Amino acid sequence: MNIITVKDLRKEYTVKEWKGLLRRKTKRIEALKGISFKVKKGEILGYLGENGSGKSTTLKILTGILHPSSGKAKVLGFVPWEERMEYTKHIGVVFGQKSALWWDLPVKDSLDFWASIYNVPREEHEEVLGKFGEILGLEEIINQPVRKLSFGQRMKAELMVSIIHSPDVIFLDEPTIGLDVLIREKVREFLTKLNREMKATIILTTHELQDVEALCNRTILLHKGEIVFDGEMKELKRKYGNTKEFEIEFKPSIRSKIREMLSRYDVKVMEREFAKASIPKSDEKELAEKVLALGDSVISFNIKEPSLEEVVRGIYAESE
Amino acid sequence: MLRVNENARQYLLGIKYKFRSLMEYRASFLAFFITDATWALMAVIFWYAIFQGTNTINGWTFYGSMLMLVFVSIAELMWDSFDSSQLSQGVIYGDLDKYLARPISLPTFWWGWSFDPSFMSRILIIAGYLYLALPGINLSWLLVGLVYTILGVIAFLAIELSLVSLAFWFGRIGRLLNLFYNLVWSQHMFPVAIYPTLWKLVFTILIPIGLFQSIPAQIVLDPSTLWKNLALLIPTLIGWLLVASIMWKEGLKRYESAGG
Repeated sequence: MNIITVKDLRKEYTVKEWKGLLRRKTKRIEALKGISFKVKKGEILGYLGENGSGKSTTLKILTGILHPSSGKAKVLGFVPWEERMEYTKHIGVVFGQKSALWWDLPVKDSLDFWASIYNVPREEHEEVLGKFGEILGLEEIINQPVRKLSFGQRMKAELMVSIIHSPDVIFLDEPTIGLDVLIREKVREFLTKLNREMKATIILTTHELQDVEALCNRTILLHKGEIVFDGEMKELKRKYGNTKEFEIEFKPSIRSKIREMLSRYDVKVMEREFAKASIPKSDEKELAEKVLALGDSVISFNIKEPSLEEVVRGIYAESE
Repeated sequence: MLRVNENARQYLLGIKYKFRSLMEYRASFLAFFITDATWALMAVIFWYAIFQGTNTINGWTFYGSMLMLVFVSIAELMWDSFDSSQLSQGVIYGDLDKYLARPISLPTFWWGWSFDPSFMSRILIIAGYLYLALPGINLSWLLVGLVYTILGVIAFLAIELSLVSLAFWFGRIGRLLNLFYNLVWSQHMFPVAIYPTLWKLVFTILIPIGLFQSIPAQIVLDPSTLWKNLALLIPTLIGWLLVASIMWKEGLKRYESAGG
């Protein structure tokens, strides 16, 4: 069952450019160029894109903050920007850079405050804290004033605030930005549990491709306001990852042979004892045989799948 | 009715948590309270000194002067408690996002959140002025004056919210707001009696900023015009509330937030 339906959604902004000392010219900028997609109940959707691609604009429209210039969107049967007060009772949001916490008060007070705004009964509120707070280590920070928390601890509190009313859909705008590896893992664990036990649908924008790989069963890739890919992560890699990464460590005596061997490929690094290149999948076997023929002069070599960053970079380059 | 209840609930929640938040800095609260009380005491001493040796000055009694301070203080307290000027900053910096994505009733919640518990000192001061004024005033007249003041200030606040809503169209509107506030302060300089009738009507009925000033506040204390002014104020109030509501709602449609 689709719980989010977006059809031909557009958002334009007006910017003014100076033409001379007093004259200004109005220019329309299209942040979203007619995007359409659907999201099923219980999906974890990774919404990816470079800076300025329209990720946050989409999220702001779907959370009722912005009105689109044209197009349609329905979430849980609501038109977000028209039925904001009723609709927002059913969603949770985290904007990585806009805090919902009370700066001077302990985390507990912020949680109590939002529970009151959403009219959550005390028992339910306690149940949610008990069920999900442990993963995030909430008990360590719950009585501390927000101003004394580290950035990572604050993000944990923001996540708890966003689910205090057991929402059906959760929108997370860069929730892992600036977090260290350990906290990021905790956040991923938390989101996985949330999706499994609360049956919550999660829409996640991020620059961290590892988050997407670890969490999302579907990815939408946005480029300059247009969707350039919509599908499963595996499909993304299969479709666009038709190259492999080749890395070799060798003795300096065979450097010229290695250079010649890699001359037909896209060489990324060529050092005295190390080289790295991007090779077509079809050449994988042939190249491995050539390397093995070089004998002891090769210290080690490795042929692996491209990183997601590489794949995404390739898609962007293709859509330019 | 449900909507009104929800607005009231959110307003009170805003106050509750703002109060807790400010109680983290009790010294600041105490300093404000003492400063405000000292200022009020100085005003009483000033008027008391003026009326030494005489019962009336140009028809004014000490009790009438105290009553004027009651009305002016109520107007200022209401203005400070429901000030919308900071909302325009929220529009520019995208700070409305966190409220709009939640079932928060803006600007009601904003007003609750902006509440300063040190305003409570003003309530005590108003009670003090009233205590001093009571022996020499007519109670029914006092009530009509209070109604006029409250309705006038609501109209004033609606004008302020309408101006703040212009931030959705024009961005920074600080200077426009300053112009409006300067207009308010400029009314402070001269007694209302010196203005032509049309001017008096404009600044006591159409744009009731005269209420905030000690001398133009005489208009509230003049029984011969009070009823007429009250009758004229009601359509003005309804008009400004409509304008503010429409401008705020239309403005929200144009809200562009801010980049991360």
